[in-house]
Amino acid sequence: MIDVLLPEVSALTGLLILFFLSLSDNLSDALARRVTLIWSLVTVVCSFIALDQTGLLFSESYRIDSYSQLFKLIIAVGLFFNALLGWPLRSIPEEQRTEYYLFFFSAGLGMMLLASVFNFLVLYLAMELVAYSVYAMVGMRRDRTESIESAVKYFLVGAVSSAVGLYGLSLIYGAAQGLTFGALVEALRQGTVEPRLLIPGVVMVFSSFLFKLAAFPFHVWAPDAYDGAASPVAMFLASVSKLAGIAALFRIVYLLHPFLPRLETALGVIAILTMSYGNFVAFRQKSAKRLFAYSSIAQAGYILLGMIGFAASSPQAVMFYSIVYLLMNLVLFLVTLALEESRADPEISSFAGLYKRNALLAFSLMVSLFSLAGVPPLSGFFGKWLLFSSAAEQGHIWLVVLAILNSVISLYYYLFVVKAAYFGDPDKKYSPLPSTFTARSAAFVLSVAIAMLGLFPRPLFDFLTSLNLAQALAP
Amino acid sequence: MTAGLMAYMLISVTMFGLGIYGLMERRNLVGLLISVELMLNAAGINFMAFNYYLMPDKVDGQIMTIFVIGLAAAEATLFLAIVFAVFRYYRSINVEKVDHLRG
Repeated sequence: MIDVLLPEVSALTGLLILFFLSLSDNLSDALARRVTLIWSLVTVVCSFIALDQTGLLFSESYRIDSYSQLFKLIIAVGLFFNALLGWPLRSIPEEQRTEYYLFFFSAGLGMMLLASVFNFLVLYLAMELVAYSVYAMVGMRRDRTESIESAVKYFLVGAVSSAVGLYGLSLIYGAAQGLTFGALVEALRQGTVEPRLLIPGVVMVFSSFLFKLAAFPFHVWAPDAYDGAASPVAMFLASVSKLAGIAALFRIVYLLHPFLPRLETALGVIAILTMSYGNFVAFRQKSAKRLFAYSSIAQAGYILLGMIGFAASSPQAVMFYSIVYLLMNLVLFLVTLALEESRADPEISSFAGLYKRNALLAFSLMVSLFSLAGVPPLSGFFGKWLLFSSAAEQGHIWLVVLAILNSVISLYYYLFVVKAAYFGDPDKKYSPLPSTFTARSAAFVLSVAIAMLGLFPRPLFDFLTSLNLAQALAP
Repeated sequence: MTAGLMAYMLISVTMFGLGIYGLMERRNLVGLLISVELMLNAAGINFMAFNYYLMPDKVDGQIMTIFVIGLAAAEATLFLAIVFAVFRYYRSINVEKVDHLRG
């Protein structure tokens, strides 16, 4: 039993350790960070060991399969890099840093649960576990008045969206006469579902999910939250927290699509609107974190488009792009955090002359931005190609054409940052940008991974194919 | 659907609608929290009613409602903590005064 739940147990143990550490008053934040780092590494190892587990636990409420286990591994790796690169938590007061790591693990636990949910109650609990932890993390920053404002806005919008989602769940419960996903699929198959309950319910639950992914029209919170939160928290939101939402949403979409044909069209249109909105508004941004927020909105749009290709290739495409998405966003925020050495919340102009100040960081930034834009030899290109081709196989040619246009447009504002970093002149009093050994080696490893997955995608792709994700997702 | 279930659903829809109305009309952070709680409890009523009328021999809906009540309490705690912090910085809990960031 315990080895089936190894990743969750590991995250829970981390949470408990940090909880007891945070009770003591005279604890240095460096120790909390070291414990978090070690324990997130343990979680990575545990997720790796549990990779080939399967099972349906707790009266068919919690499903362990290759899909969930791989997502847990991705999330664990993301947590590890967040713990590694987030340090030092500059704009969070010292006495709260232990608590930051406490919420770090509780959010991590919630995200792992989200990858495996097979019951609406578990779905709601896991979502709220992530959400409450993240609300607290966003509100921790104290060096700027706007930060508490962004926390309260994020909380309110989030609470409303989860209340709407919960109401939707209650309608689905009435329609399916049960809380497990299995009961819903069974009821749909037998046609005993009351559509007047099911359709509003599904719409409400999906709008709550779209909020979590910051998809159009529920994206408004994202730029404010990224901007107002401390940069390590913004990194957390942009990397792992979004992936967990994708994991749970994709499972539900995959279960429901044979019975709700309109779902495909609706999600396709939302995907296009999301990426167009993210890309067009990103043009006008001056703050780096806001730009990255809009860019991550656009990226969620691409993943949503890949979801609606229900061809056999779709789960691999979503999984591949999720991995690449994590790597790219980690690099973006790694560079942003390095720039915060001199100034909190760097603007795009702060990237000027980065090449002269720190060539390695500038290079990894360029690799990751080109990959986000989908420039050919990099993994972002291959990932997008997989997403788009799985949508095209399903016959959504027009949506794919619009998505390709979008990714061409996005190249413009990504290039703007690259141009600043490589050809812009740093301030007169510029100095070499110091970076820690950790940041340098992480930047190197991540950008090499982004490049290698693009040049040689075959091994990872074959591995994903061998996991039989489509079968894992089927009811 | 029986008449009794219909009546409960009517109550819950009304509560949900009142919650949304409150979200649009209220300018006070605590008022907004109360509106969200109304929406959560509307969902709770739905769970109980469906459980009672459609599946009287199961307890799924009741368990769900207990969790909803617990989470609503946790949510209120966290939200009020943030409202305290807002008050300390802005000397007000009116949402119109707490509006500097631009999406």
